[in-house]
Amino acid sequence: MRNKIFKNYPNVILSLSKDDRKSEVTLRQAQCDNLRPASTYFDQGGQAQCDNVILSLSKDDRIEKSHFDRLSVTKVFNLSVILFLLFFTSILSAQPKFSEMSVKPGAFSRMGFGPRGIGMGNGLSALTEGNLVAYYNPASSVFQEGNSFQTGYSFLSLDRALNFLNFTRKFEFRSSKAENLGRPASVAGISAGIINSGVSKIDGRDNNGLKTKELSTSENLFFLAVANKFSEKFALGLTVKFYYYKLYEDITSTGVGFDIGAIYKFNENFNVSFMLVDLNSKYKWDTSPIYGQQGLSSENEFPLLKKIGIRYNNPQNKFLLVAEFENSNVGTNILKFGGEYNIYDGLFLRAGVDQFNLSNGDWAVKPAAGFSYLYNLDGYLIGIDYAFMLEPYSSSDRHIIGVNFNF
Amino acid sequence: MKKIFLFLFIIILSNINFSQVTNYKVGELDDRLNKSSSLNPTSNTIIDIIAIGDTIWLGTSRGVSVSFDKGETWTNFYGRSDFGTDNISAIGYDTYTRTFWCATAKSQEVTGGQTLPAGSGLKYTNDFGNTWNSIPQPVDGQNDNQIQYGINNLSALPVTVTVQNLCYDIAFTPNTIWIATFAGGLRRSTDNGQTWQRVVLPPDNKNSIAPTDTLDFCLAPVGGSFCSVGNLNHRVFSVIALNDSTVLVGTANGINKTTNANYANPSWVKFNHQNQDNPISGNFITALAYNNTSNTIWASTWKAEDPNEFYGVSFSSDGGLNWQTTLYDERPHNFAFKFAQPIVLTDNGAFRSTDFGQTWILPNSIVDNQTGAQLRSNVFYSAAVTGNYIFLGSDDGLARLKENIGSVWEGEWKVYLSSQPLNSDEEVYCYPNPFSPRQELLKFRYSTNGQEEKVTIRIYDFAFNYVATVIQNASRITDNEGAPDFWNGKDDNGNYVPNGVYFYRIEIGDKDPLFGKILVLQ
Repeated sequence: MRNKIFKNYPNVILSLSKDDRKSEVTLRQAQCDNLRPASTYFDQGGQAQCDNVILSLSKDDRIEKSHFDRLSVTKVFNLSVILFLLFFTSILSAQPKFSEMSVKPGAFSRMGFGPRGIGMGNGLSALTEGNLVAYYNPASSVFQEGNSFQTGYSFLSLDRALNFLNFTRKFEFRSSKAENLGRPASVAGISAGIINSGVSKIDGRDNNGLKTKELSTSENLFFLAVANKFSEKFALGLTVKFYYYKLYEDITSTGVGFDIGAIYKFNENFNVSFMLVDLNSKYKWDTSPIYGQQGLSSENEFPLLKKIGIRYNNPQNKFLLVAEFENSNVGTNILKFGGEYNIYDGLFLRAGVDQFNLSNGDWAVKPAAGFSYLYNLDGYLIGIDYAFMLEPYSSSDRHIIGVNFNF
Repeated sequence: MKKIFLFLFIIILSNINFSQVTNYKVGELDDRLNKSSSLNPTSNTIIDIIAIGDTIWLGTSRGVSVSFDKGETWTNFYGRSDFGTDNISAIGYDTYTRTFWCATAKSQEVTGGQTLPAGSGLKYTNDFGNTWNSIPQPVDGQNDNQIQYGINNLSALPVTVTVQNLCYDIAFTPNTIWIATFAGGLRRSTDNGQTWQRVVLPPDNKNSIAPTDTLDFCLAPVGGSFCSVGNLNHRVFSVIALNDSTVLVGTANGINKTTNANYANPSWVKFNHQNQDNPISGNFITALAYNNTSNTIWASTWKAEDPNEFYGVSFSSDGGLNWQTTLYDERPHNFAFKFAQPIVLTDNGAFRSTDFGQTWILPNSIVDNQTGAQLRSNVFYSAAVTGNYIFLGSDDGLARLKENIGSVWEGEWKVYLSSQPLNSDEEVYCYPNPFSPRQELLKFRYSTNGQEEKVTIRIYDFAFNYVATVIQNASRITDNEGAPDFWNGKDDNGNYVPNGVYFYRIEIGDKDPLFGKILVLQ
C-alpha cells in the first residue's frame, strides 16, 4: 500500500538525468521505508514524494537547491515564536472591545481541531499534506495518504473539556483505461470525527446563595464529510454536522449544519481554498420543563463563516505555510496563519497565530506553537502531537496533546 | 395571604440545602427551633410579611424570620426537626392572643412522577419564637364522610392525605383560627389546632347557604365515585377576618362572606363574576385584604373558567355588594395599605395608588442608600406597612423604605439580600446558578477584606472571548458578608446572552484574578 505513492516521481526529479533519478529514487525508497513522513507532499500532478532528507545529494548540492539551511530555518522559527509570544503577551492588558461573535453558540467548535491544527493557528483550510481532517476543509480528505486516525485531548482552565477524534481516508477508483495511465479514474474521500466539549464543577446555587449541587454540561459535534477530486487540481467536499448540547438536567438541544469546502491546487507549491462553515447550524431551546409557564422557547443561530485559505509548500526545505481569512456574518474578519517545519527526521515544529481580528483590535489574538514526533513501528506510523496556545484573560493557557496513527 | 401558583412555583422549584450561620439552641425541648441572628433574613423569597409596631415577621422559603427593631437585625428560625427544609406557605398573627402562626409545606412526588405540594402542619409561638408548638396538618378520617350543617346531614369527601391539602392563608376571630387549605377546604379550630372543624361553604350552584336551608350537595373539592360533582367553591385559597364575626373566604368560585363566623354553622353569601351586576373580575381569589382606613375589601381576582372573566384587582366599599376593578391583566399576589393607599404586589412590581385605583405608581428604583445594593426584581409577593416604614418582599430579596412624609415611594431604602458568607477572601461565587436573565439578576459575592479596592468583573464565553463588563475599576469595600454586584445577563450590546456556560473574572486591586462559572438558562 505504501509503495503505491512512489510509482510516479515528482516533476522536480524529471529534470535530473536517468541515472540520477534512479539513484535518488532508490535512496528515497529506502528512507521512506524507514520512516513514513508526517507530511506526504504532493506535486501538482497529485504525486507524492517522501520529505526525508535527500542524502544522495552532496552538501553543496543541497545548499544550492535550498534558499536556507536547516539552522537558519530553525532560527527563524524560534525567533518567530518568541516574537509572537512577546508581542501578543504585551497587549493582553488592553481593554477588550465587544464582538458579537462571543455571544454566538458553538464557541467550542471554533477553537480548532487537534494539536496539529491548533499549533498552526487553525488556518488549515488549504492544507493537503499530512494527517487531514474535514473540520478544516471537507475537500481535504481526498488528499489523505493512508488511513489517518487522530485523537486529541486538551488541558484547559476552569474545568473545560475539549477532545478530538477523527478518521480520514481517501478512496481511489480505477478503470482499465486509467489503470493503464497509472492513475486512478476518480478519487473520493471521507472524514468522520467528534469534538467533545463541556464544563464540569459548575457551582450550583439557589437564589439564597446556598449550594445546591455541582453542575456540568456536555456539548458535542459529530461530523461526517465526503469529498470528490474532480481533477488533479480541484476537489470539493461537504460536511454534515450534528450538534448535541446537554445543558441542564432535561434541557438539551440538537442542531444539524453543513460545511462546504473546495481546494484548488495552482501548482506544487500553492493551494487555495474556499469554505462555508455552519450553514443552518443552530440550537433550539425550550426551558418549560424547568421553568413551567415561565419557560422560554428560543433559537440561537451559529455564525456563518466564509473562509479563504492559502497554503505554500516547500518540500525541498521541508516547510509549509498556511494562511486563512475568515469573514463572519456577525462582523468579524479574522486572519489565521502558521507554519510547519520538518526540522529532523520525524520531528515537526509548528507555530501560528489564531484570531487576529481585523475588525476588532481588542479581540484576543491567540498565538500558538507545537510539535509532532512520528515513529515508524512495523509499517505503522505512530505520532505524538502537542500544541500550546495562549488564552488571554483565562487563568491559564491551552495545552493540547494528541496521538495519531497512519496505516 | 398567598396564592397557589406562587407557592406551587416556589415549593416545586426551590432546592434548599441546610446551612446556617452561627446558631444556638433555645432551650432543650424538641419542639423548639434553632435560631440565628443576622443582618439579613435567611431567604430572598419572601412569601408574606406581617408588621406589628417595630416587630416584622417574615414567612420565607427558608423558615420564619423576625425583627424586633424594624429590620435592623433579624432572628431566623429554620432547620432541625420542626422546620426541616419545609417551605412556609402562610403566616398569621392572632392579635387577640398575640400569637404568631405559620404553616409549612413540602414537595411530594405522587404516582406518575408528578411533584405536588403537601401540607406539613402548622406551628405557633406566643413568646416571640422562644418556644414553638407544632401541629400536624389536619386531615380527615376514612369515615368522615358526613357533615352536619344546620338541619342538613351532608355528604363530605374525606380529605385523608396532605397532598394538595396545605394551608395557604390564616385568619383569626376571637378564640378561633381559620385556615384555607385548598383541597382540605376551609377549617377552623377553637383549641389552638388540637382539633379542626370543616366549614361548609356553598356549592358552585348556590349563591348562599344558611343552616336553616334544606340542602343536598356534597362537600368536595373534586368529583369522583363518592361525590359525583366537585365544587370549585370548596377549593379554598384565602381567608380574612374583617372583625370579630365577619370572615371572607376566597375560593376558585368567588368570595364567600359570613357575618356570623362565631356560630356553629355560619351562613354564607357568595360573590362572583356571574351573580352580581358589578362583579369581581374573576372567580379565582388568590388573595384578600381589608383596608380599615377606607373600609374597603380588596381581592386578587384571577380568571377562572368563564371566558368572560379577566385577571385584575377588584375592590368593594359596600361589603361586597358592588365591585370595581382595576389593574387589568395583572395577577396580584398580595396587598398592603398605607392608610387608604393600596399597595398591590404582582409579577410586574409593587403598584400603589393614591387616588383609589385610578392611577398606579411603581417605585423608580430600589437601591440601598448605605450599601448600594439593589433589588432589581419586579416580582413582588408581599408587603407590610408600619408607621412610615414599608417592607416589600420579592422573589429576590427584601426591601425596606423609610418613606418621606407626604411622598410616594421616596425616602431611604434598605435592601436585604440573603447569601452565604464566603469562607475566605479568596473565595468567590455567583448565584443563582443556573441563572435566568429575564427573571432575575446574577449576584457576585467576593471580598475585598474590608479594604477599599478597585474591582473589575468581566464575563467571557467558553473560548474566553469577551462578552460583557459588569463593573470596571469600581471602588468597593466589602467583606465575607458584604453586598454583591449584579449582572443582568446581557452582553455589551445590551442583548441577553444565549443559553450556555460563561465564565467570570474578578480583579480585586492588584491581587490575582478570581474566576467562576455561570450557567445561563433562559
